[in-house]
This record gives sequence, structure tokens and C-alpha cells, in this order.
Amino acid sequence: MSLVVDNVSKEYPTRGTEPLSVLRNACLTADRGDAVAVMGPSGSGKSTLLHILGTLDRPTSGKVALDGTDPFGLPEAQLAQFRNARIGFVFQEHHLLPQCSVLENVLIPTLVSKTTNPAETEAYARQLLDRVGLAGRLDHRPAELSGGERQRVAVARALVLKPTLLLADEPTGNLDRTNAQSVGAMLLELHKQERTVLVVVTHSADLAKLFPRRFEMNDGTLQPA
Amino acid sequence: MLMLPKLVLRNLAYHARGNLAVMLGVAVGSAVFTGALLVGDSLRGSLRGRVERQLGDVDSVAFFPRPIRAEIADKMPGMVAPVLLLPGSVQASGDPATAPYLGKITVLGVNDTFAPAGVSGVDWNGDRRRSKTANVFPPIVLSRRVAEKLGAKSGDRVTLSVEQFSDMPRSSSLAKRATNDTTGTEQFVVEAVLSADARENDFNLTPNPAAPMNVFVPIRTLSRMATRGDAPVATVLLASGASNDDLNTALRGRLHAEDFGLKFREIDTRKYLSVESTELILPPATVKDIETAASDLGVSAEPTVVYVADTLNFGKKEIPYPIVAGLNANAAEPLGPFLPKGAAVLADDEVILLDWQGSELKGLATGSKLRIAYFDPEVEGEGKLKEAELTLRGYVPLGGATRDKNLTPEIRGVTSDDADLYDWDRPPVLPGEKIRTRVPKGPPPHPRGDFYSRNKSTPMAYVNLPTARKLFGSRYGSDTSVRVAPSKGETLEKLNERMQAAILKRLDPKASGLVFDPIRSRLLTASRGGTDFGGLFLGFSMFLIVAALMLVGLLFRLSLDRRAKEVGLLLAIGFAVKQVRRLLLAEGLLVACVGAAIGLAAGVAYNRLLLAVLLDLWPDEGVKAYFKPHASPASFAIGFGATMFMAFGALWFSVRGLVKVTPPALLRGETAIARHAIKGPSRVTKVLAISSLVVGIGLIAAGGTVSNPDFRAMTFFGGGGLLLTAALASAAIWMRRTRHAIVNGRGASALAQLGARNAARNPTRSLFTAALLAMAAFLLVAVESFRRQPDQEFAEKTGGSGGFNLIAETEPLYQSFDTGLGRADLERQLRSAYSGVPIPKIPGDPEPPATPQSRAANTELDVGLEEVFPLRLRGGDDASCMNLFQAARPRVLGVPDSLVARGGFKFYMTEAKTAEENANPWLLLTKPAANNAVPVFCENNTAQWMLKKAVGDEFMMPGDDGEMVTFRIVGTIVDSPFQSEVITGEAEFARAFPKQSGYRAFLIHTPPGKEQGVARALEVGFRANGFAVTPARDRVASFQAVIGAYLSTFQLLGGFGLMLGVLGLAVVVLRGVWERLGELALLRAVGYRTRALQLLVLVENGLLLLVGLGSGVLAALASVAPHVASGAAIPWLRLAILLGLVLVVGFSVASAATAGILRVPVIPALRRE
Repeated sequence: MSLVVDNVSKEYPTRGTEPLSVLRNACLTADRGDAVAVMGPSGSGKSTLLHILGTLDRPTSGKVALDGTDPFGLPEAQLAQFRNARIGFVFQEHHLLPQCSVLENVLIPTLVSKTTNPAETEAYARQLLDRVGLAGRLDHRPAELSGGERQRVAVARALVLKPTLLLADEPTGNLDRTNAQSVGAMLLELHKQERTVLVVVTHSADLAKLFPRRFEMNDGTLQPA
Repeated sequence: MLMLPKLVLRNLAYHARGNLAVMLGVAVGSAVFTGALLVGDSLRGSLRGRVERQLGDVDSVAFFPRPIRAEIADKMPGMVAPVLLLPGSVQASGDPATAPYLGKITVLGVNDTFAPAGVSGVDWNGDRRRSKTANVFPPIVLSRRVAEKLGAKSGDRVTLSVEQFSDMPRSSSLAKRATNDTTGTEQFVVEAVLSADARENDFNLTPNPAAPMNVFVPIRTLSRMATRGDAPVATVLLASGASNDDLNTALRGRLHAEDFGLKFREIDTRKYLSVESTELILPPATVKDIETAASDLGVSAEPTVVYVADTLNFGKKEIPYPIVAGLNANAAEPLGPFLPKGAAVLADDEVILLDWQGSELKGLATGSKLRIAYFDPEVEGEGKLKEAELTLRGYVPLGGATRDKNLTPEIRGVTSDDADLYDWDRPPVLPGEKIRTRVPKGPPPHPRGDFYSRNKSTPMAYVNLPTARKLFGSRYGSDTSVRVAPSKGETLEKLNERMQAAILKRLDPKASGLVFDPIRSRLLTASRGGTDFGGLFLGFSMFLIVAALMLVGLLFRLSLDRRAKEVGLLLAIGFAVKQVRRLLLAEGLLVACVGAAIGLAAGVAYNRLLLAVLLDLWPDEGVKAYFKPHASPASFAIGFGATMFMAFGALWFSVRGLVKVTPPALLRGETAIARHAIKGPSRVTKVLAISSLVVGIGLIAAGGTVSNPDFRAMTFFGGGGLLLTAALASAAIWMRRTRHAIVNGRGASALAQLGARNAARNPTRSLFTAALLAMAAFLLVAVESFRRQPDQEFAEKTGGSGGFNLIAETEPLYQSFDTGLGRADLERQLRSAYSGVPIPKIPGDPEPPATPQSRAANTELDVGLEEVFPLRLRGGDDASCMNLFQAARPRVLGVPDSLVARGGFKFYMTEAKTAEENANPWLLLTKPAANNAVPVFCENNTAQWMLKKAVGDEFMMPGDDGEMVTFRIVGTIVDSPFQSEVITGEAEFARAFPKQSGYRAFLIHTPPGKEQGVARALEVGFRANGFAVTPARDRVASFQAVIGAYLSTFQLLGGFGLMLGVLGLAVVVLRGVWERLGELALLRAVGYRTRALQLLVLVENGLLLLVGLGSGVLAALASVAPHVASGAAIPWLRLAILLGLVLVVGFSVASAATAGILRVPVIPALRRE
């Protein structure tokens, strides 16, 4: 299995005596080509799960393995490199750098990559942008793009280093219905083409419907929907 | 292709506004740092420039203790000019009592080797007075300053007075001490006034602040005035173009024995050579050298003491004014013997009398006890009689060795063949009237007078050498000659020649002061400044620099806060924390680099501003003439490097906090670590608060006992900084604790609570703002507390003035003028000044008559001179804060025992141990200190800043014989008029400087309102001595004006710091309000009025202001507590006004900054949220 989530829990200390439990014994496995949607109400812990999968947060207990590697056993610098090479993120907000062009935004992750060839990654970035329909907007700044276009750039950025795991946190949350459908379809399409493990956290039933595997997160517990 | 450097540049361009603010902050820090260093450069450069100008081409100089023949300079290596350099006074033509008058001038007697350039028509090698065109006044060239002050121009006549050299120490009993006997006065015609740009205007050999007042006269003319001889003499040799060693070698080769103050008389009548001093008394070391030289030649030598006593008596029988010789009575021919028949030895305290016709002491039995009354050999003013008992050993007849008037050394007007006892050119201890009474001229003549007529100064009593040395010895020595017998068959001429050569080999030119001093290098060393201005300004600027860098950190962090999501994204996509940190630091450092470079240019302007402020406040106009901005590449390099280093620290600190926040939080726009992770104030903060408080108090308390002033200053700043840290750490603890409180209630108090909560919302940011304000407040308060003015107690005996309202300086007076001979001399001078009748040169000529003005002046003196204390003064470097040069050899004052007994003045610290010393610390000056050091007091500021010493410290400087003398500071005084010198007791003064005679300073107490009349009478009376009176209050005020100039400049730095603080406050409040725009809009939506929101912001703002100012003020007050405990007064009102103004400005700025934002319409603000 490419992704193994084994009994992952997350607690936060509080002013009281009991810690706040946000995630409880979550288990999940997925292989390349798998696409998983996680649904659930606000505060149920789905974003926390996503952050743990993305190594942005550490579990209180349990294990996570990606391609057989436990990222939380890596030192900080290697963990960042691991995240850079193996994980792609798409956020609800696009988080594009306003000072950079569309192409440059896609190339941002490559700046700290130690394994890629700059010329090849740039060619690949151009190809990705072509595939998301932005071939003619390479030199544009984020401020010159629509919301849907910005999120497409964000998707291309997430895939530019060919990650094993593609994580998306409410990727269509800020988009109108048309754009949401388009971005959702594009995300799945690219995931299939790149054979990533796609995990999407969403409130959108429409988006979730597109995914073959769906999970429900309730009060920190992950269950198949 | 996008690469990291390109991304950095993109970021810089995109966040240009934020970066601009950071850049300006760094530029301020760089400007302040570099500017402070440039102030140091300016001082050193200006002083160096002044040295170059004041020395002209002179590289080395030989200062001679006595005048030597000017021809010695001929054919020396390089260019050597003989100059007779004397202090003097000059008065414009007109009424002597009212014409413009200038004391403390420098009179340079020069020949054409050092004549002022561009002046023609003066025969610098001649003496017009002695020329055939008699009665033509000799020429004088005035420097521009002297001419301006006198109002004199070319062709005018002026009266010049200089001190005359004496053929015996002025402080010996036989010397004459009246003003007319010690000064030479002559009229000159102004041949030219130097042009304003002439270098000779500024010629000066001392590193002192006062602008020189030079006048130039032909060396032959000045030599005649000072020595009454025709030969030109010099007291200095000015050399250029040769090394110091070459000059000393050449000088040694040219020195004659007479240049060491020796003279050689061939006594043909007795066939011996008498080696004597040109100043009557041979120094003990010289006596030894002569004896050794005689021994080298294999000839016998006998040191001899001859002294004029007052009376030698047996009961009522007496010999008036007997000349007593102390010698080896057993000496063989031709140097003796002096023993009575049958006597083998002359023991201590025994006397042999000359058996001469008419002596009242004839026929006494051997063993009779005689009494000798003699004048204390060392005395200023009135002669003091001492007595001793001598046992008669027997009589010797007048013949052979005893018939020798040449035993007595040559004294002008006393021993010469044409001298008359009744017309002796006599010292004050031998007044003519008294001589005439005791030795009636007759007829019949008194036997003593008859003896004198026949035998002149032939001794009539003999004691052994130890007895004579005991009775008649002084600090100058005792021996008046060393008599040397020739070898068998040797002529006196040959002996004389051999002895001079042998003595020259033995005499040490250095011990006699006959050496060149590398004055250029010494003054260039002194030009580094008494105080390291760069360090001083840097020290006081550090608060400002740190404030600027804190502002940099604050602005950078605020800029980064706005980029939190960007940082979060970078971390999320695989940038390591280190990489993000590097990226952000690279951006920041590039901005800082540009800012620091801009700061270098701004530093030049800042330096000019500081100098302009400092010089504008500086009381001495002369400083402005040469103090110019200078800059060295090293200062720019250090300024740039240090600023970059500190900016890196500030940036690193800013980035460090941000990258600790988790990427998800950053992506949400959060910039601080989640609150729930923090459990109240951290233990580190508590430990920091307590340890800073304890160590800070400890440092300040220990500071009082630290002797090194630099370390003491460090304890002050270090202690103050730690107390500030403690206060801010306490504020941090309080801010974190406020989150537990529940905001409740109604109205303004509830709003105030909410405002306070807001201030604590972002503790780091708030603390930085408070710290900015605190540091500026610290500087302002601490500096203000050091500002002093003569206080109400100043005029008291235990106040700064010691109870003296006038202080005077003069060329030496050898007797105090309040009573006795000195007062009589003063009255005579006043009569002469007001009547215009000169004082007669020949006894018996008409005396100047009294005039109504002279009587009025006498009345002023009668009423006004309540207390007068004459002080000895050894010239040297002005050690006061007025002197920007380094004072390596400070002036030394010697105070009389009467002043020690009187006590007074305000002490800062002393080494007093006994109750008696504690009651009167002046007693410490009456005996040698530890290590046999000379004990001295000095002004506390002088010790701390100029000498860099404290009580208990020692320093060394050359004594009169060139050997180093150790001085120990046994006490410091405050608010005194003695900032320019160190003070010791008279006996200790004489121990260090035995050759100094006369009084050159006076402390005077007059009743209130009488100061002016007394000062005027004294200045008129002693105009030939350059007598200058200054009110003690004015003198202290001028010192304090200098300190005030420094303090005001430092406060300007504090003011800049406050500006930065207020700017930081405005930025923080504005940013805080901007961040909470939606929140504030919500409050308005639920019914808060704009005024209520303003109150919220003002409370938040006010709290930061109060925390900042309060911390700064409290830390400063604690830091200066030891200073205050020593008697300093804090000007509370000024401080209150100052801080009140800061509060008002702070509130106004914050109110203005937030007013616009609070009016943003509610709905857009809510939507933004």
C-alpha cells in the first residue's frame, strides 16, 4: 500500500485536565490511483487528518506510512524534503504568491527540490498548465486570474513534483458551482493520469460523489460512508 | 527560470512598502551608529588639525628650567630656533588703571629663525632700545586675538610685563619678592598685527583649550627684560627636520657647565676654584656630581654652606647679621683649615668664631652656649625667624683661610666690591631701616658695619657642614659652593678647564631638563582626546540604535505577519523551516544592506547635526573655530558592519517566531503559536524578571565601589539595562496574566479593561513598543539627573565653592597680598597705577603718591578681603572638561596648611579613615599617601572623565627633576572651581615640585557685593603679573555649561529615541486596529459608539505608553540613585514636563493614526472579516 494510516489520533492540551481529542484511531489505506473523499461537519477533525497526512501536523498516537516510510520519524529537514517530493497540497484558498507569475507559482515547490532537473520540471509545469487549460496565461499574475483559474494553478503546483499523495482541503469551497465541478473533474482527471493517491476533504456532496471511496468523519472518528 | 534569488527579488519588489519601512529603520540605526563614530573621528581629526596648526613645523622642543644662551641653537641638526618663551601681560596705552589689559599672554622672544612670517621692518636679532637710536621703543608684533582684545593697531604703544629670572630661588629667605622686583615692565611700539590667517596666531606648545594669546618681540630685548643682561637667552629650542635622538646628541655636545646653572670662580687670593650655582644654591645631586668630578681628577673638593643669619648672641652681646659658613674645618690648605689652635675637630652644633676687632662676642670661654637666630631658609612673604643653640669651640684669627670673603657666593648688590651694607639691594628679611637701627652708620660706625666695609661678606662664624645643612637647608638644597683645590703646580685656569670638562661628563642633561621632547608625537597622542567621543556618543547612542533595531524587528515582523499565508504555503509544499528562514532573512538582509548604506550617508549628516548642537551649546567660542566634521573609512566600515550584524539579529528574531507557527495556522493567517499551548507567563520570563532585578540592583550598588570609570559607566548602563529588562519582563508577566481576568462591568471602566486586554493581545509586539519608549525615557531621565547647576549650598563653606566667591590666577606672586609686605606691595602698585608715577628703581627716590582712587581701592580691599589663601600652582594640562585634549600632565595646586586646617568644600568620596580625617578630609593631603605617593584631591568629573581614575587610583607624571612622581587620588570633590587641576598640600607639592616657587592662584572670600571692587583693585594692582580674577560661580558655571552641552546632546539622542518609540507605537496600534477592523466593526454593530472605540484604542495605547515610560523612568531613577545619594538633585519639574509632553504626543499620534480607521463603514469592515 502506498498510504497506510494506522490508528492515528490527535489530542490538544487544554486549560482543563482533559485534553481535547480531535481525531480518534483513524485508519485508512490507499494505493496509487486510489481517490478518497472525506466528508463531515465542521470541527469533526477532517482537516486535522489531512494535515497529519500532509505531515504539517503530528499525530498524538498511531502511525502514518507513505511508500513505506514513516515521515514523522524523519528529522525536520528531511521531513520537509519528503513533503516536497511525495506530497502535493491543494487548499481551499489557492495561496498563490501574488508577486509571481502563473508558471512561477507552479514552479515554487521545485525551488527546494533536490532531485529534479530544472529544465525538465519547467517543461512539465508548462505541460500541466496546458492540461489545466492555462497554457496561454503562463505570464499572468494571480490577480489577473479568476477564482477557478487560480485553483487550477494551485492544482498544477501540487502536481509539479509528481507526488505520491495529493491532498486537497475543500478545493472547491471557494468556487461557484460551475467552477467547482470543473476543478473537481480536473483534479480527478489529473490524479488518474499521474496515478497519485488522492485524498480530498470536502463538504461538497457533489464533489464527493465523483470519488470511488468515501469516508465520513464524525467527532474525530473516520468511517466509510 | 525561477530560482531562489529571483524569488527573493520578486518578494522584495512586491513588498516594497513594508521593506521601505524596514530599510528606513535600518538606515536610522546605521546613521546613528556611524554618526556616533564620526563624532569621535571629528574630535580626533579636529584636535589633530589643531595640533598641526599650533605647532607649525615644530617637531621637537626642549623646555629649559632656566634660560640658557641662545647661541646654543646654532648649527644644530635640522632647523632649531631659540625662543625665550615667557608668560606675561600687556596693556594698551592710556591710563594704567583703565586702559585695556590682558593677562596670561605668551611672550615669544624670537630671532629671525622663528620670526613671524610676513612682518617686515623688525630687526629680530637686535635690541632697538640698546641701539644708537636711544629712547625708541622696541618693536612688538601682536597676534590678531591680542590686538583685538586690546584694541591696538600698528603704531600704538603697549606696556609689556614679564616675570624676571632671579639669581636665587624666590622662595629662599634672601630673595626679593615684591612685584617690581620680580617683573620687568617696558613700553613697546606695535610694529604689526598678524593677519587673521597667520599660523603664528595659534602657535602653542601645550594641549590646552584656551586660544593662545601670543606676542612676538626680539629675543635680545626680551632677554634684557627678563635677565637684565645683554646676551640673548632662550628657555625653549624649537626644532624641525631632525630626529629627537639626533637633537639630544647634538645638544649634549653643545652644553657647557654654565648651561646647567653652574658658574666657576677662580679665587686667586686663596688659590682654589669655587663652583657655584647661578641660582645661589646648588642642588644636592649637583654637589655630588661636582665632588665625583673632583675625585675623578684626583683633587680635593669641599662643599660649603654660607648663610646670613639675623643674630648671633651670647646673652645681650650680639653680632647682627653675621655671615655663617658651614664647611669642613679640618680641610687642608688652600680649602682650610678653620680650626682653633689645639682643636682637632669641629663637632655638630659647635661654632668657631672669627676673632675680629670690635666683635661683641670676643673673649668668651670655650663651651659657651651661643644662640643663633636666622631666617627660615624656605619662606614666601615675610621672613620667619628660627633659633638654635651653638656651643663655642673657640676662636680663629682673621687670616689665611678665614680671610676669605669669597667663601660667600656672588650675590648681586651684596657681595660685590662696591656694595654698601646700608644700600644693600636687600631682601625683605633685611629691611634697610632695621639694618640702620641695629648697625648705625655712625660716626662712629658700628663695628659690624666697619667689618663689612673692610672685609665685605667674609664669614665670622663657622659650623661643620652637617650643622649648616641642618639649619640652613631647604627644598632647593643648602650648599652654596664646592671649593676645589688644584693639583700641585696646577694653575686655577687649568683646574677650571679640567673641572668643567669632568663635571660635564657627570651631569645628566635629562635630570636638568636639558633634553628635547618629541612634542609633535606627544600632542598628537593627546589629540586622541581626553574622552573617547566616539565611545561616549556610541554609548549614549546605543539606546537609540537598539530602539531603531527594535523598530526594524517590529516592522519586519509586521511585514512578515502579512505574509503568514505565504510562509505557510512554502512550508506546506516542502520548504524546510531553515530554507524559509534563509529566504526571509536574505530578503531582510538585502533590505538592511541598502538601509545601512543609506545610513552611512545619513550618518555624515547626523554627525554634523550632533556637532552643531554640541558646539552651539559649548561655552568656549574658541572650540568652534577648529572643531570640524571629519570621517574615517574605518568608521564607515565599522558602522556598516555593526549595523548589518545587529540588523541580522533583529531580523532573525522576527523570523524565528513566525516559522515556529505551524503551517496550517499560518495558512489560516495566524502568526502566533496557539494560545492553548501557553500556560500563562513562562518560567523563563519570571526567572528573567527576578534575576535581572537582582543583578541590576547589585551592579548599580557595586558601581559606586568600582574604581575604573569605564567599568563604572558600564555598571550604570548595565544595571540600568537589567532593571529595564526586569520591568519589561514584569510587564510581560502581567500581560499574560490579564487573559485570566474577566472583562465585566459597564461604561468607561469596562472599556478600559477591554482596552488593556487588547494591549496584552500580542504581548511581544506590545512589549517591543513599550521597550522602545522605555529606553528613550531611561536615557532622558538618567541624563537629566546628571545636569547640575551651582546649588544654594554652593556659596557655603561646605558647598562647591568652599565658601570662596573669587578665584584668581596670576604669574607668580611671592607673598600673599592680604597682610604685611604683600599688602604693602599691593598698595604701592595701586598708588603707582592710579598716580601714573612709577615705582622708584633706586631706594630713596620719590614714591608714587596716594590718590583718591588708590585710597578707594584700599578701602575696597580693607572691607572686601575677608579671607585669602595663596596657592602654589604647577602649570600643566588643563584637566577640565573644557579641554578636549587628553590631559596627561594635569596642573597641580598646592594648598597651604591654613587652608587644610580650615577645611570646607563638598566631597564626593575620600579615603578618610580616622574620625579626624572624616571631619576634615583635607588632612589627607598633609602626608604622603600609600607607596609614598603624593596625595591629591580632584574634581569627581575630572577624575572620572579626564584622568579615568577614581579614589584610590594612582597616576604618574614627571616631577621637577624629570623623574616620574606617583600621585594618588585620596578624595574627589564636586561642584568645585578646581576642575582643571589636582590639589595637594603645600609640603607634598614641594616634595614633587621643589623648584616651583611663588603663588599663582588665590582663593578669596569677600562679603556679598564686594566681589567686583576687590577684583578690580587686585587686577589693577597686579597688572604686571597678569592677575585675573574670576567669580567662583562663573567658573563652575562654565564647567557645568560644558557638561550641560554634553547632556543636552545626549538628550537629543533620547528625543530621537522617543520619536522612534512613538512611531513604533503608532505603527503597532494602527496595525492592531487594522487587524481587528472586523471586530471593531462588530462592536459598532452591537451599539458601541465611535467615541467608545476610540477610548478602547486610547487605553491600549496609553497602557503601552505608561508601561514604557514607567519602566524607563523607574529603571533610570534606580540607576542614578547612587549619584543622587552623593548629593545630586533630580530636576523633577523639568522631568515631569518632559514626560508629560511625551505622553501627550504619544496619545495624539496614536489617536490621529487610528481616527480614520475607526470611521470605516461597518458593513465593508464586517465583510472584510
